[in-house]
Amino acid sequence: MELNHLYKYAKDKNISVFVMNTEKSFAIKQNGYYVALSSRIIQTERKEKCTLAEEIAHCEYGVFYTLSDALNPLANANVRRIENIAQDKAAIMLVSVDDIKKATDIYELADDLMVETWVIERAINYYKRKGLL
Amino acid sequence: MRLVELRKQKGKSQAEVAKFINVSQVAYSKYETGKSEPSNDILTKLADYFDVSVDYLLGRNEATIPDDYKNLETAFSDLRELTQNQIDEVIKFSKFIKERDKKE
Repeated sequence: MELNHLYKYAKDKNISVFVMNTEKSFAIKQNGYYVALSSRIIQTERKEKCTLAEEIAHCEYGVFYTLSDALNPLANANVRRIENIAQDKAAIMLVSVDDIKKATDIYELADDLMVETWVIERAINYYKRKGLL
Repeated sequence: MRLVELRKQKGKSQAEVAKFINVSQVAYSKYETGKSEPSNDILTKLADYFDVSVDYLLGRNEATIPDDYKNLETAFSDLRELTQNQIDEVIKFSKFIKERDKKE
């Protein structure tokens, strides 16, 4: 999915996206879904795309953790589970089974799709688990 | 110390981490179980290896959250080492959304 389509996708899902001068990008659920993209971090289209997809995934699938839990994420299995779900869903939003089948190299595919390599790796693992690859 | 969690997140074995920081696996294992404390030099190497601060490695996170916001449902794109400023930014954003919703 292209970046502009991702913004439209968010809008269609009633997820409000803001670009803010914050240190990190994040999403909150508060009578609706709101994403704050950090203008300091999304300095490339690739980064913006992957970050936005991940935050959209949190909102679309309603997978959040509390701010308290976010302080000590490594010790919290629920936070890890939520992060895994969101990253998987973001990856398959950006990378299709066909994209992977046609590719010869994950770095080239990442360049072609303008995504980070973790997205390709996540998508491959997801599709393999589902028996699609 | 957060060694076990960080190592598992990175998908490494004790032997791999031990090799990187140039100690025996037995010595490293004791760091994880708390039976032995690493030197400052080793702590720095471990922090660099896991790309975190020494404070984070030692489990110190001084950030606090007001009671009203502890259960705010959030999701960060990067969960490493949330600072007080980053927590405050989320709270400020939450307040901004509330104000905006009131006006609409």
